[in-house]
Amino acid sequence: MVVLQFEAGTLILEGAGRESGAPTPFRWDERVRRWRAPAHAYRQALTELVRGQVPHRDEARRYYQFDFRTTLPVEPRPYQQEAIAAWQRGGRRGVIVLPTGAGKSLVAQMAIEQVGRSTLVVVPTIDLMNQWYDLLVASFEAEVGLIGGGYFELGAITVTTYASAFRFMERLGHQFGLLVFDECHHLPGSVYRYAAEMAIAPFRLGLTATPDRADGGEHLLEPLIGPIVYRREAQQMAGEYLADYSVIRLNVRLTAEERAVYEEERAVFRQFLGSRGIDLRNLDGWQAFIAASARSEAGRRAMQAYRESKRIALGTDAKLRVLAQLLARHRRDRALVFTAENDMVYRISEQFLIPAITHETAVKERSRWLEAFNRGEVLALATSKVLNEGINIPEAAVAVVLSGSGSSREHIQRLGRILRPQPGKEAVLYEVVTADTAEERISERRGQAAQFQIPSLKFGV
Amino acid sequence: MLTADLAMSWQRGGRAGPRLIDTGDAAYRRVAADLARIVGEHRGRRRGELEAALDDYVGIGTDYKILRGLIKLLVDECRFETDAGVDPADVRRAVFLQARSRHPLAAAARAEVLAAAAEELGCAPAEVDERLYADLPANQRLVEHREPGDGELLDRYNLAQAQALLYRCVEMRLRVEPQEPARCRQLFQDIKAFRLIHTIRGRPEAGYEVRLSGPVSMFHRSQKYGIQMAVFLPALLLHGGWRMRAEIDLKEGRRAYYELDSGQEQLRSHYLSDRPPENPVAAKLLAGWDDPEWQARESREVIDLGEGAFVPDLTFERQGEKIYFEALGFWTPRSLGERLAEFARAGFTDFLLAASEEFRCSREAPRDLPPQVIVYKKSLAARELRGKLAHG
Repeated sequence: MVVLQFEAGTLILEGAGRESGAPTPFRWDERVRRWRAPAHAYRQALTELVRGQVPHRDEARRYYQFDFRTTLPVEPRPYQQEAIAAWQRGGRRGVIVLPTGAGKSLVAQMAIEQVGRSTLVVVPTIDLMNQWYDLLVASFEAEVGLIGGGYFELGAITVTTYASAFRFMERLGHQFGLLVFDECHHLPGSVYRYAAEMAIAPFRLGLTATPDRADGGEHLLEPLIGPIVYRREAQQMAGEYLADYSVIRLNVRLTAEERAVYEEERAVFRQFLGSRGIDLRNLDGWQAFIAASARSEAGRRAMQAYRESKRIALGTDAKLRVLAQLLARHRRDRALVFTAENDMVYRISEQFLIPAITHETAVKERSRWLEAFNRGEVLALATSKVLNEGINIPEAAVAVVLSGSGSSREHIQRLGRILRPQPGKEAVLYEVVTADTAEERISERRGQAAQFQIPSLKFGV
Repeated sequence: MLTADLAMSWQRGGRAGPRLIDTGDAAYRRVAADLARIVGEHRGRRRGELEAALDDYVGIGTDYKILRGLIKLLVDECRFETDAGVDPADVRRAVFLQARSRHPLAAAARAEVLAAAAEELGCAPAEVDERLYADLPANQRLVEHREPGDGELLDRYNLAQAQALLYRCVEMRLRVEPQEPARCRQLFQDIKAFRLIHTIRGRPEAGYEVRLSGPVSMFHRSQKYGIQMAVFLPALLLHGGWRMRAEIDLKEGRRAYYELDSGQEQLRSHYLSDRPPENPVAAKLLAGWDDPEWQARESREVIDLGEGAFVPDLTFERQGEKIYFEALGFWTPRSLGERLAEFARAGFTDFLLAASEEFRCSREAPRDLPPQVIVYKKSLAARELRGKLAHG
């Protein structure tokens, strides 16, 4: 009788001597004089023991079968059903590639429902972890646990970040039957892949819009999760499932004092770039600036000037005045206010007395405010990057982007928050930009995506 | 410890090392004292104020990475707390739900909403305004900090830089000189406590080479255990008679070696030296040993058992036969059982263990002991040991 055990992210075959041999993934570890295999070879190891009719006992597996009630938020669309069927055919292993906004998380929820075993969902950021938590609590009558961001609770379904998973998998790698890797292109390349190697989970699902990596690491996904089993690109799906919306750009102006400080700081910044011959339009211009800024006091001052000028442009009081007008115009609609920085979120929350949701907001309080928003107990939420994606707030009809990054991905995700179709809803996204500042170029960059190439209004306030 | 972005190291050829600061440098000593003073002055004040003051101090100098490193180590030792009073989460619930009827809130209506919420919560309106976000990290107050001793912060910083380099360590090799069994045993206990796996090669006269890595290291090079090696470093620094060679993974698959030995004076451990006690039982036994057949000697050997190492106190030799003896310190039937299982797995049988009833840390009495274990009451009689050797 051999005993299969989980030990520190690996499998040990207890009771088998060096001569007696072991299933293919095992290698003799002379250091401890036992057979050892990477944990992710569990499925293969067990299959070989069973097929070879080797008397064995499985003490590695510590995950359970569940039969919890599920209420999926919406009816799956045909492509979501096709995707999950392809994954089933692949032995419940593999990667599904769908564009952003196509409802990847619903696909994951279908997989969790069908596998019905202790599940770990691994996501890139604490923000996403919180969003998944909300989503899973709403869909499954099961205990949902969190590991990361100050929490360490294991549930029937547990959500965690890649960074946390990397740390705890050594101890908990035997507790999960299904692993879901959200944005799974994060997995190869870095140390995060150990999280996938140190778990025994026989069932694995990877989700991403962009499996291809610049470093060619995508081939690493296959041994860790499985092959790509389903793939659909954005252009194959565009226009099919989105609500009507309009985009309105508004310009604000800096006050005279703000303008004076802004110009002063920009001058310091530009002067430094000029003196070092750095051109930010070059591909590696920004990297060159960062490197140069660390090497001299003038450089450090230039970095400070850059940050200060950006803070003024993005955070001018004029934006708060426009926000007041927009909230008044939409006093009966549910509105989301987006900013780039948390400071601004709290300013808005304190001024308008509306809830703020940032990465500092406790998960449970966050859930409470999202529910209150959906029920209409509060009419507006202020948030930074937290509500960019994933979360289910069908009532949201107005998005006010007071500031953000130059990423069109972020901008599309913010737009996506208000596009869930509801009877009689007309979605509108306002983008507030400070005229004659560097913010105009940030706005240009994020607005380049096809989603924003629609007739829109542009006027000053 | 430092975050990876604050780590500073150098590489030359195949070698690497942490960028250390000169702890005797008056300028750095002044900086350390200034930073500690700023922290001390902010006791009772908000974290945001402390951080702003520290940022101002960092200023635009190019040594900001070093300063941020020192700050990180100082702030890690601080405790911040939300002021006592109404729970800010309750305040927010009351305020935001009250504000619903006035949405969107005009500046003039703000006071009314706060007053209504205050009434609901049973406190003053001013308190509601103040406590709305009192629990944000930036608004919490510094309630506890530790004043580092003279030069201590700089020592800590250098150690933390060395540790940060080890985050990227894939394998550590230690050359261990022959030394007192008790000290050697302590070293191997430390290795085990930090969940590192070792392999040992060498001979008692020449010393041993120990390779440290982790369970998955046998499948591929892994930085997974870098953090454990980093935490192990201060424990290692307390030992003597070693040379370390740590293999560091660099970018683009390159590697370099960080070397250190017990004679170094740049790094100081902040762990307390826990000098292993002398073993009076073995010493007494050796002093009084008088047997024509069995030769007793103090041992300098380390026996690799796989997960653990066996470091005997004495050896008894007779015409090519060799028995390894250890007088156990504190023990429990359970720890003894684990030790015996380890011996059995390694196929090691030439041992004698002496366990004192006085050092038994469990009410439970040991059962089914093999003949190689002697349990004695007050003192270990040479006669009993001789008997065991004769029949072993």
